[in-house]
Amino acid sequence: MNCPETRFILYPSPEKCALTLETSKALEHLHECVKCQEHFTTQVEWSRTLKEKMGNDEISEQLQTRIMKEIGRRPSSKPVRRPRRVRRWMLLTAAFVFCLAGAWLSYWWPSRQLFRTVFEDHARYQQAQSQVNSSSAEELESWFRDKTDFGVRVPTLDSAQLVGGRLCFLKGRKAALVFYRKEGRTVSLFQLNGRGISLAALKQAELDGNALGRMSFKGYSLAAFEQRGVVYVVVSDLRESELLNLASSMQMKSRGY
Amino acid sequence: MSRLLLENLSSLYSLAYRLCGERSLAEDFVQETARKALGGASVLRHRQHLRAWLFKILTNVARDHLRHGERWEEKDLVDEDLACTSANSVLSDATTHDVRKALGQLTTIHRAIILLVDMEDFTLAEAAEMLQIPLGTAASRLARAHKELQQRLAAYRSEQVRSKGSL
Repeated sequence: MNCPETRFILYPSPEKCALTLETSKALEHLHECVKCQEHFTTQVEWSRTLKEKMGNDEISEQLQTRIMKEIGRRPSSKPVRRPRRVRRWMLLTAAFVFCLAGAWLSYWWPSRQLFRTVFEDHARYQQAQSQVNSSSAEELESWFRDKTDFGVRVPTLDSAQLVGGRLCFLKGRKAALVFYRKEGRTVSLFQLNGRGISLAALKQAELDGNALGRMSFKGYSLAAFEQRGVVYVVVSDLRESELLNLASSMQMKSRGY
Repeated sequence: MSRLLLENLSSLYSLAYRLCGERSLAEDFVQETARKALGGASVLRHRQHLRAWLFKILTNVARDHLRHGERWEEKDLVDEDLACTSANSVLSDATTHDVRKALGQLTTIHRAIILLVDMEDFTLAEAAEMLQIPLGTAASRLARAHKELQQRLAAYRSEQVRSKGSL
């Protein structure tokens, strides 16, 4: 940016110019250019000198009286105080709403963060080695036995191939993770103890009579449901509709146990 | 609102007087401004811009009145170069009388923008809103007003030098 452009953008002075996208560039130029600094110093000096020369005009007593009369004519601008009983009810209602919102947030927010962590875990470790490689649901279930505080169910699917599994920790919670392959992509099924996890933190969907929670994040989709106190979370970069179908099938299979 | 009004009474009156040049008319403008401001204060949403709002009312009152008497001409014929530096020496060498006289001889629209931006320290955007003109027009008008003021002050000085020389 050159001097004429800077002076045009910052006219009449940096303090009084209009804020535009170019202002910051012009300010950068001004910071480095001595000539522009001198130019704007002169502009500010001009304004100061003009103020000094002109001063303010004395107002007459008559005008002061007229203005005081105008002020006196108006009712007090103080807000009208409501009766104490109404104020107390308003205060109680506000406190109740505040507590309710706080309670809801404290339940909703950790779940939201947990689902974000599920996304991150899938994205980071989807190519990692499984702790157990097997396409047998029974073998995987027996491997998980005694490793979690909930019963791990591994649904078998026609549309996705079972690959293996591992244990993982999400926000201090132990989770069983089962991998599937579908159309060359990894599908992760996380299973966690459902205590303290709210599916209300997700958008709601319904497929074939199955209620599912759904969420998308950085190109990945997630579908979740709860069965017998266990939360199942399916994550993949498959299309969301495909993932929901998959999750719905898993829900039906796991219900069949 | 009452307090703000009283704090700014002198500035409001000065602006009104310099716009219309008549003391009694300026007092009427200020009273009308006070009446409107006190009446509208209860519905005002953005309280941080109260001062600008007060001056906007005054500018509207003055413009409505002066337009009626064809003393508020809105035409801007020339786009002015905003990169020109104002010659401060011309202004600082001039007497208060000359500065007041030169300002009084500017057109009302040029006087108004100088008074709002240079004297009352409003930003160009605030002044443009008060005068209900686009920002670019306000910038160009201020530059033109500065230039005219300088030219008049320079002319007074040369007149004074000439008259001293002839004595």
